[in-house]
Amino acid sequence: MIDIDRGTNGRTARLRSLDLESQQDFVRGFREWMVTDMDAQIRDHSEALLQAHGVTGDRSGDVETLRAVFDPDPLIAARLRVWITNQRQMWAGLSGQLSRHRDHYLAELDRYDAMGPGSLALDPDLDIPDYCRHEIHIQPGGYVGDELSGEIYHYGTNSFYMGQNDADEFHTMLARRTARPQDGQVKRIVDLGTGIGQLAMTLKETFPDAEVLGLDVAGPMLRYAHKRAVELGLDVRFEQRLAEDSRLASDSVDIATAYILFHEVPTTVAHKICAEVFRILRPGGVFDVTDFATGALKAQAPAFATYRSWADHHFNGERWREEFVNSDFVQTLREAGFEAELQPSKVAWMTPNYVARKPL
Amino acid sequence: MEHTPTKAATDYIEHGSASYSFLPDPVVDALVQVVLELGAETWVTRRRMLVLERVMTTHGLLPDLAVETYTPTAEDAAAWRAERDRMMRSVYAALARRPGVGDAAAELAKSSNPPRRPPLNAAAAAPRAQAMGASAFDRAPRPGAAS
Repeated sequence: MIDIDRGTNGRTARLRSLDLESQQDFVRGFREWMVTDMDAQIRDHSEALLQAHGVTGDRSGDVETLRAVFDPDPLIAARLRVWITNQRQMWAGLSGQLSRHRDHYLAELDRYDAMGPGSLALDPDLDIPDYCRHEIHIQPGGYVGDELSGEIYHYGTNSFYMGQNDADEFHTMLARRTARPQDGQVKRIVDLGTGIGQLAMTLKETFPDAEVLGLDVAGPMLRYAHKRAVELGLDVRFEQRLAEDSRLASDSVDIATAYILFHEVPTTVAHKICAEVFRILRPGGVFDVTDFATGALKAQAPAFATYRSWADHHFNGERWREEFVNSDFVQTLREAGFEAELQPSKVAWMTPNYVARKPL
Repeated sequence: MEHTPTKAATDYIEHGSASYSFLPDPVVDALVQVVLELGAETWVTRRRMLVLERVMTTHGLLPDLAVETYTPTAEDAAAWRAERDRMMRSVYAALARRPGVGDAAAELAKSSNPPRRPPLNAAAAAPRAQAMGASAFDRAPRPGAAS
């Protein structure tokens, strides 16, 4: 397959092969069809199945009950089959092509590591916790196991964001809607679990006078984040640290953010992260979290959404998702000392926004 | 990192559910995967044709019947044969995968230099089958197969 510079799309380098770009275009097109046309049928079908099996009320939130209804059904099975195959096609295409040209991509990362603006601080001695050593979303190598995890993740999520990724449109929207301290002072922002840094970068664009740090456990993701920030001329500090051990000074941060981080960690670690954020935020500082529904909100979810959440955990490498969604994250924040509440979703698929403020 | 796993933390398929059969019949399950791979291959080709047609039309480079009457060179033929073989491995990998036995066929398909198919006789085929972890293929009952 050809591998050449093919220019940019939005503000992201185009994939270096027309055929790979087309293969990924198919993946995205199929996913869009699956979550619209196919799921419209699946929703009605799942409701009919529940009625036929007499599953109502409290039982509609019990995964084992739902599995007994949905697992044997051919249409549901086909939905799971095509979803996982679609996911595997996405990763296999990207991982295969990028791996074949590994030297090129690694040389690019090497070239950018020491460039500015911004900075990159990797910690080769960091003890990578077991809880993140798996293939999240079945991405080959996960976030910490492949030197090209950042590139693979970024292009793979084009399908997930359905056209809101090339110019960081989705993350720009998130950044602009970030909760702010009531006194309006924003000098320092920390994005936890920043991954490839899209939120950190768009926060820097939204708050150009603030110092912005992006922390993550995954070195490969941070190297790619830094490369993109340099290309975009954004002064962001990316540092390889654990969210539960940020090594930042107490009372030194105005805004902390965590976008889809908490369902990727055990609840024991979630508690530690919240305690750490409470420590580093200054009084009046705000912790803005976007993640799945938990607690009472999760209990309101349709039965099939509960089943699909379990399937995402079971088949799609979402190791900690079930732990998280079965917790009460507002309560977790309050136990850490925050004044916490749920806000309306900032994003299209209704993922809740947890806003926590450190009391004055 | 200290952590006591809960059931939810361990009740997941670690390596991408590659060998899981969602549908009761694993062959039908494989065929669904084949259909998706074929869809991808079809769209990749069609999209390239659209690009090609637009580029050539724009530059006035496509005389009538030039494509229809083109005779491939030996190099063309070899390269296209290799491309065809790659497509075969990509589209049909799922059919060579045994439910519950890892993902050897998919790994083979990803390989840039997979072994060529051996001659079709039992003595030659056995080592390849063993290399793919499929030595018991003919002896093991197939899940979901009619008895």
